[in-house]
Amino acid sequence: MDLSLSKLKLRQKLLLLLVIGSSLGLVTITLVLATANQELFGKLVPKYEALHDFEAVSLTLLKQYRSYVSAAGPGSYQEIETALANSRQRLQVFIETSETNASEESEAASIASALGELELAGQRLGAGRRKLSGVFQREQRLEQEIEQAFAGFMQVLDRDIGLAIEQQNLDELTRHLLPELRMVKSINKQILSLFLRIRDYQTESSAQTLETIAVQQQRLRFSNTLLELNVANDSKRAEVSARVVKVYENLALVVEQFINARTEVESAIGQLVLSSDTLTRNINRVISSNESEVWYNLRLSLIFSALILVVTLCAGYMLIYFGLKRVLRPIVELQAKIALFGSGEMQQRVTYRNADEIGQLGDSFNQMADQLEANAIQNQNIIAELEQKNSELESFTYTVSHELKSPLVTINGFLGLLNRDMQSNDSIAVQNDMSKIEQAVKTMSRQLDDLLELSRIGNVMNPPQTISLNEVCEQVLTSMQGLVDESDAQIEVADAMPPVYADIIRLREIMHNLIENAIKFSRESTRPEISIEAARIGRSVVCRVRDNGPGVEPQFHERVFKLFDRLNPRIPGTGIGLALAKKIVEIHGGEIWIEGNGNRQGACFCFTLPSSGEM
Amino acid sequence: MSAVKVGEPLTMLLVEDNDAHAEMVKRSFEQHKVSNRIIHVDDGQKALDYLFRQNGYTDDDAYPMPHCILLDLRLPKVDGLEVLRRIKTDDAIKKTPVVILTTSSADKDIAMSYEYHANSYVVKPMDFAKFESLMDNLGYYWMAWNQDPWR
Repeated sequence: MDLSLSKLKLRQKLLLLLVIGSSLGLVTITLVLATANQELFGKLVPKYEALHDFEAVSLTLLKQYRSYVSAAGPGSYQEIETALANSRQRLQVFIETSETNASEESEAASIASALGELELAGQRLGAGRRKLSGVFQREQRLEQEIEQAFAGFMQVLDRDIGLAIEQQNLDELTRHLLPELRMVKSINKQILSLFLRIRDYQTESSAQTLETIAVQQQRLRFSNTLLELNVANDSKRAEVSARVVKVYENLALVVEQFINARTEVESAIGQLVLSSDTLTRNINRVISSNESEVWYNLRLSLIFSALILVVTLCAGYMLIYFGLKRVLRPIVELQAKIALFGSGEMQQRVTYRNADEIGQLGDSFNQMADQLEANAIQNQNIIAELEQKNSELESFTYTVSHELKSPLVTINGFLGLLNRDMQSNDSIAVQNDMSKIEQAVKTMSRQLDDLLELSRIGNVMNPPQTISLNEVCEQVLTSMQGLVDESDAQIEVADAMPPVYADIIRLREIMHNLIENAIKFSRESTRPEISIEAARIGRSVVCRVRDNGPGVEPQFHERVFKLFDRLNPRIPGTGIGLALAKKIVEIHGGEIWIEGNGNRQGACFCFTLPSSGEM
Repeated sequence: MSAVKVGEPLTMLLVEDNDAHAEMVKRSFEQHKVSNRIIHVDDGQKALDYLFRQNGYTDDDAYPMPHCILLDLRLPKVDGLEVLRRIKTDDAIKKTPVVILTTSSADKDIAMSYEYHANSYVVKPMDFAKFESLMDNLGYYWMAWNQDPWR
């Protein structure tokens, strides 16, 4: 009991361990999956943040560029460089957070190259701006020079005009000096206008091409006027004029430089716009591709989570189901077997054989079932035996009542006839009637005696003893000496027959019946010749009683041993003798049978009895 | 197989192993002048031999085919029920009325007899007056009142 209990406990422990182990396994799987999920997010989120950061910084950069391009002065370029450095730094972060796969690398490279172009364009713009500011400085100096030159020219002209007014040289005044004055004033005005336009440009960069054309036209006209002045002027005027021309040539140079710088700046701005567009496009593309990646990974992560949940639930359910099933299986089997057994299937047994309480319960059930089945079989056998006995008894009663009625019918019938015959004084008939009645009464009396004898066999037995068959034959023949003499029968008994171990009174009955039968049947046709012999075979003795009568045909070999079954109604007899002999032999554990096939070849009745074991 | 001849004396076959009983039947019939002729055989084998014209029963004049058969059940050699079965399964003889006349009133014997198409089943009365009266009635009924199948 203790042993089996500890085994059961061990089993419970093992089951618990199994449950815990499986749970730990599940938790581990769940953690691994969750970690993978988190890792995925951990990589994705900074990358995404870096990208957005980069985008924001780059947008600032672009805004700075735009404001710089539209701004009048070169002053804010420092801010652009700062923003650019910032943008570069963020791009580097983005590249670092990205996984090293080809598409992302190429995206990063394209952004970097766009950023590089942007920088280059910015540098070119800066250079253009610097040139332009140089031009502006020279232009301011030139303006002073031109003012001085014009002031000198105006002094000479004022002096000449004063002289002409003094001399009253009106012709000279009207034809040369006053147009010259107007010309100088006009040129001055145009130059001033040009300067104004250049200054305008510094604050507002527009219509630059028109101004270039105006400057060129002004230059041509001025050159023509100078040619005219050179013809008529004196040395002082020529000197002043030369200075003006020189200043003007400088101006032309400055304007040309300005135009060049302007062209460079514009080209740089164009490039800048182009580069910033590329950068914006690339950033947008990278952002959208990364966003789709983020969504993909997010879905993947959701699927992972769902999978974890499903796997955990399934595994948990199966664990519980199989665990419980394993524990409950023997009980379920026991219950089912008991139900089947109860419904009459007595061969049902429990197959669960472990040495625990349930196994013991199964063993007890099996023992009980064995016992019950054995009892049931025994009962069935007893019932079958009783049924057979009952059937035999019924048959016996029926046969006996029928057979015993028969002589009563005869007696009653012939009593009636006797009455009638006596009235008619028919003495012969009366004799016959009385003889019939006497016979019937004798028959009935013998039948009752024999039946009584038959009923005693098996109930009343004398103790078996060693018997000499020769002695028994001698005694029997003495007792029936009358019949032997009457039938003139010749009877041979073999010498020294082996002794048997039997009930001597019953053995005498067998011998008496067989010898009497042999005489009765043989005498019908011939002088009876009867021989009796015996031989020992194994542990039995076979005894034979042979006659020279009509014999028994094979189909009657079994029937003649049946109660009241008679072969020849003319030969007197009760029909009980052979049945009696058969029963006695069988009680001694022997057999009885007939040899010979009829046809007037004689019959041989044989029977076996146990040998006495002595010789 | 010879058939029953019309116009012949009425013949009855009595199958009975008990000689005393046979004598009682014969004397009852004689007393009441019922049958012209009663032929008695004392075992089942002889009854079959007689009816199937074999083993010495071939002479139609000495052994005419019966108009009616009185049959006991417990007979030596061939049992009465077997004799009945053989009669009732033979096309030529099965029409012949068979009356079972026995001491047995066992249910099994009655049931089996009718199973084999016995025409009647009567139990031998213990009382002699009743016995004679039964024989008288049987004789009149089967040999006079009953329309036999050969007419």
